[in-house]
Amino acid sequence: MNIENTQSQMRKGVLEYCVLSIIKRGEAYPGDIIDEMKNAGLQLLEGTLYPLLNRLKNAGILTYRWVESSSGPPRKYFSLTKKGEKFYDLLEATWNELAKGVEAVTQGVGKEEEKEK
Amino acid sequence: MKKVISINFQGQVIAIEETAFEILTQYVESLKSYFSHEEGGDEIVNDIENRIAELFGNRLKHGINCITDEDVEAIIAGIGKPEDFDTEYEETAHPGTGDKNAQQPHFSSELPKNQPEEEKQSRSLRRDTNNKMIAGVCSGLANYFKIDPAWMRLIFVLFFSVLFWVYIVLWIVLKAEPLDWSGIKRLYRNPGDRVLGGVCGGLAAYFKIDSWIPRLIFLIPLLLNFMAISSFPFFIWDKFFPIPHADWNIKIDGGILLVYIILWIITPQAKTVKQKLEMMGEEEYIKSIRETVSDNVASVKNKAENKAENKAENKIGNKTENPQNVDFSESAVNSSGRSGCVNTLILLIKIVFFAAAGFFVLILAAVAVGLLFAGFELMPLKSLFIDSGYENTLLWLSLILVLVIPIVAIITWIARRMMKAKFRPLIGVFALILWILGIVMAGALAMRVGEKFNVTGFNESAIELSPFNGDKLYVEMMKYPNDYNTFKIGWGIDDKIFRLPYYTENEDSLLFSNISLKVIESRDSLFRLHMVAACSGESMKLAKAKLTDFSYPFVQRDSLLLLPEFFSVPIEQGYRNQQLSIEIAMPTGKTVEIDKSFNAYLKDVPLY
Repeated sequence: MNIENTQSQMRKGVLEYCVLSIIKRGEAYPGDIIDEMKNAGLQLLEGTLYPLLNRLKNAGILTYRWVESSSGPPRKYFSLTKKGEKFYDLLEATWNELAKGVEAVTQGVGKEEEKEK
Repeated sequence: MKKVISINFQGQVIAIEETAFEILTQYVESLKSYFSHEEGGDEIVNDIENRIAELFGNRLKHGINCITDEDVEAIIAGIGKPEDFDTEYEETAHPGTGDKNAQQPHFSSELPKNQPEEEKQSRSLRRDTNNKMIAGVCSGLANYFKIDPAWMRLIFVLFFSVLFWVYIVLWIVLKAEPLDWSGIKRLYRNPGDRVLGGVCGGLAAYFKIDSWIPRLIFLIPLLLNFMAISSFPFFIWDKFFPIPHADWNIKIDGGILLVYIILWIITPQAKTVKQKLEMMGEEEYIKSIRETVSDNVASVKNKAENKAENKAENKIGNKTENPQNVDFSESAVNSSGRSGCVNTLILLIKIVFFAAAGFFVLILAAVAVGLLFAGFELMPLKSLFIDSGYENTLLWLSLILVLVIPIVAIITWIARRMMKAKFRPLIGVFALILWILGIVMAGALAMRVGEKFNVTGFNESAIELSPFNGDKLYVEMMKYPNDYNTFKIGWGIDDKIFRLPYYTENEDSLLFSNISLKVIESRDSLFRLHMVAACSGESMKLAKAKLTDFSYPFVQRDSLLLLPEFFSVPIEQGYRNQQLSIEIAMPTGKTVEIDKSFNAYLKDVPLY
């Protein structure tokens, strides 16, 4: 059994939610998003982020505007649309449910062992 | 020490090591192909490039002069290589690290499936989805008979009325399948050997013949029709070349043209190397590659040596090299079976234009030939204006140059175009020079002829008539006793306009009827004849000299005045607008009766 596959699947699952939460807090450009994720301890490759942002933009979840930068080429700053906000709320609900459930299940196993002892 | 180049990356000028640039280029290419089937893939790649540019900018800001291999590799590691990307599409499209296992069983299950399918194909008739133009019916049929679909399509188009329903039925009945075309010789249009559309070139490659053969076949009906066209208005042709004319079936040449056009539309151009291979058949293609390579090697070697020897050897090399004129450079990626319906419209316009231009040229040629013959008809007139000697030569030379040169030039151009000979502007320039020379000569000649009418000389004479009994003078015309000829112009131009002279049978004199007759009052009691003769010439002296040669022998018999019908001059004079004006001075109290035959002469035309 290939553990990397499973680990990758786990990361993939929460990626969208994490990225959207960064953007929800404030307009962000991909460089910012990468940095924030890295600071939080979550590795994210640009090559994964860009297609994701593109898909979300095409789906109408995100919108962007160009901002001229003094140090380098212009940047795309993404922000949530109305639809995106609703989308985010649903994801947040799902995550909370998931987190609680996973916590409960993994703790529960521990509880079982304790009982037996 | 490494070479550094300057690149324009996302609008910024960046100094980068050449090796680093190659790594970067490769990376961007891999990104492009990875995202090629994602919607907005271009935008994604652009965004990533943008990010890279920003990272470059960061590095350059911190005092580093140029981007190195390490920089690029670090950036690539940061962004990630395509195989590392986690995307939703992994399951469907790309072999991610985990999916390789999943794919293998997929492959192995495919193989046994293929075999029974192939066996099916060779047995039953199918519609082909690989090479279809409309529904793949013709393609499928052609594959079944192992020929190129172009032939089936040609048949279906030519016999459209009958085969239309056959097509519909087959469309419904046959199942569609991507068919295997390996080993079947395909007809393509050859872009490396084209005059119009490359149809003849493709046919030549398919049948392994020289390309001028199909071209000639297509052109024969047009050539035959040329004769019919030229014989139509210019029946002069018939005098010399009795052609059974105008029953050349327009259907024949129309038909051939139609075949050409159909082939043009339905055969695709051989653009990719694979297509060129199919066009020529494998062995031919490999042979021509071999020859090209070896000749290229040989010619490169020779260039380093004596140049004079080069010319001889290269010529030989060129002859064997690439006999079918196949261009080995791969160009556009368009390798589909259609020849591009968008292009078809442009091609149709091209065809119409070429056909119109061709007809125009033919008509021009016919007109020129007709003019030439008209010139022959006018030849007798020439002696009136042109003295023998250098003027004659000038006339002939200018005629030939002006009329014949353009025809020869056009024919030469067509012939060279068909033989794909190198276009030499020198020939065109040379022809143009000759033609202008002809025009100039014609102009000089015209001026020379014009000079003959420079001045008009007059000769006045007054003759007293011998007195006679009676008060009436009868004027009658003395008809010219001998035979005479008229100058004929083929289509029967009205002589009255020109007032052309006649010439005597023995061709020694010109006879003019340019006489005007008038009756005026005499100053005294005597009848007189005032005659004014006029003649043009280069100079007064010459004109006067000609006037002395005028001959108008009139006779008076008592009260009868016989005036000759014509006045004559020696034939060497030529036409110089010679005129004669006769005034009969009539004393008061007397009358003059002029015969009807002089009616034409009785005009009040003043002499200049």
